[in-house]
Amino acid sequence: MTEPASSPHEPLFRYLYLVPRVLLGLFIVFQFVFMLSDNLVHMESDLTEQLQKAKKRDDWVWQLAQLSSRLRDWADPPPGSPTKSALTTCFEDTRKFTRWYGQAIGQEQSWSLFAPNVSEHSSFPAVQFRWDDPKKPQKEWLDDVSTLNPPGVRPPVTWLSENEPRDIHSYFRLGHFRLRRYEGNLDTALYRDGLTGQRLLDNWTERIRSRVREEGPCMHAFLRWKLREFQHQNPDVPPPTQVLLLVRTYTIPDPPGPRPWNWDYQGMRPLARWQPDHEPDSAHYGPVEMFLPSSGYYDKMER
Amino acid sequence: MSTSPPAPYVVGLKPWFPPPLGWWRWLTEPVAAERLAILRIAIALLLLLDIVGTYIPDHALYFGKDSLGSPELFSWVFNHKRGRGNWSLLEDVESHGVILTAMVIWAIATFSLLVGVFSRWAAAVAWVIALSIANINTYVDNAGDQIRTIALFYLMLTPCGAAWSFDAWFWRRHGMRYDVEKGWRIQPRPLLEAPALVHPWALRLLFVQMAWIYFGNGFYKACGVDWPKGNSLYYVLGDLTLTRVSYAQFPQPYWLTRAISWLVLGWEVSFPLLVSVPWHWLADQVQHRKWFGLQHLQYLWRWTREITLLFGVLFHLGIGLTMELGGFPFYMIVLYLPLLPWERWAWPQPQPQPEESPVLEPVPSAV
Repeated sequence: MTEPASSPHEPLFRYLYLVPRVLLGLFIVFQFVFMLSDNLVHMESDLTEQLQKAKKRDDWVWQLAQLSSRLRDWADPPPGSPTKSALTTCFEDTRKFTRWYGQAIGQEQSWSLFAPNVSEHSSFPAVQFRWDDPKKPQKEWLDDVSTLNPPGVRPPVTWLSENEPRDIHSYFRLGHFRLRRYEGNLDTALYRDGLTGQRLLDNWTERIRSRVREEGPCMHAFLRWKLREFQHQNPDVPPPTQVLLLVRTYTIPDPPGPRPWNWDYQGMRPLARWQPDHEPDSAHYGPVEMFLPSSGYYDKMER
Repeated sequence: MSTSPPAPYVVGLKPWFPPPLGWWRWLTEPVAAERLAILRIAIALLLLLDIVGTYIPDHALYFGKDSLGSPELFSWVFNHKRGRGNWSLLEDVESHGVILTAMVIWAIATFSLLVGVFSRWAAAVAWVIALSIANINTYVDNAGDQIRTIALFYLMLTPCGAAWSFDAWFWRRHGMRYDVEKGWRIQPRPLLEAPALVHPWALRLLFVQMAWIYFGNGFYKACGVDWPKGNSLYYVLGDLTLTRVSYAQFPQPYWLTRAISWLVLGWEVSFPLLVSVPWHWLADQVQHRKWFGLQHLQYLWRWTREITLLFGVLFHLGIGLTMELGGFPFYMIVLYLPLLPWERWAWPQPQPQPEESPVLEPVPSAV
């Protein structure tokens, strides 16, 4: 389309032509405002956190915030206050709309690659097919899940993630990023982080519970896919009694690291289990069970 | 003597902005259509590689019945009662055949966008399918896919086929140009050979989007612990899930990773300032001011914007070389392409006319 040329109907045409021009202009302005507001509402919690830190330090940022009572009430609401501050309400209302609009046109504004912090641990899911009795507690698996197996039973088969380098000291990675994205939602790094005894077990139990509760259905889909692949490749092997989702965790040493440089391998530990022949009552329980590090049993997850 | 090239003409609907935006030349002055065309071509090329390389081969793994993206797993995405705005033409689709068909249409539309056949319609189809696919399994996309969707959205609303496209070639060949008032009109040949301009709003929105991406990232990083301490790059390079090669193979000096961490943090947080301040103008202003050596600032300021942008490209190249993040670094680099002066290379330049040969005086024979 080009600019309108002169014509006998020029005044009418120019008038009509203005309508799409105005609409386009307003849409563009709206897009600028949307980007600004959606980014700001995503930053809200971090902004209040920063202001609270400034308050503790009583520095110039906090002194500046004190100039506005609305800003102060938003960053540091009076204890026991039953009502939300005006700014909090404004952020919430804006968030409702910008989230809806951003999702509708595929422009959600939440940009935080490697932010605010980076992970000090690398974790990979692994899948283990087992043929032993699923009712036995497996507390000893906390040390090394790969080697233990009752005598007379088919030894377990463990499949590592396609994304996990077979030699962590020498590899070249190309591809599989979508699978890594998916797997990253399933696993959770299990590391000691200075914790021992019951505190460590409680920490792990909470991590596992939270992840299985959120991602149980996706874990189930992942384990089913792996089992299909396994059966496709091993048609003569009987179906396993249990399929375990494990996590293998490597901790990056504190900088600058040891010499020679190396990761601290934290082991391979269970997260969840699926029993292909004994799926729990689907009305009440999720399809996979969570591992309980303190007892070695698996527990059903309520929906 | 030289012949001047034909005057460029403007393609596309001119937006009306309320003042003072309407007076802002950055937002209103048309730019070469090649700048939009390069965005179209680069986005389409990357997307086509992505569809053929990752989506189609794994369509049954990530989408449809009994896959990692079975409809029941991601039904929460479409929970409109909870205020969600997501939609998908493929919601609840279980058939792998339908998914594959959608991807093949996606690939055809993307190829059409690449070569510029019905460019805007192709962009619209590509955008609709991109969003439809993204929403039925939200666990396999990353920020690169989101940038791609944003770019497709703007391409669909702009005359992205005004240059370097089959569309442009076809209408020029047939002597046609679209007139808003009169529809398709036959135009005289010299007018058709004139270069095209487009209204720059989509490129400006994408540029502001890019500034928000960097600033948002920088802001969150500054709020954390690792980046201000300078440890981040060390940990990122040690992450076994992302890196292309083992850190144990190629360990970097800790001081270097710290320095780069701080540099990246500073660059991201200050990106909007570094690209929006009129540094060239400031450099011009101070170059003759000799108070306290103020004139030396011109050397720092004259290239500030260019250095900032060049750093951005190198930063993404570095990410692409060292980490497997899918299309993210490449889609980000694509956002820089419209900033290059493509018209300098693509537009006809004034041709010097051969001057008439001077009449030579007969040289008296020496003999």
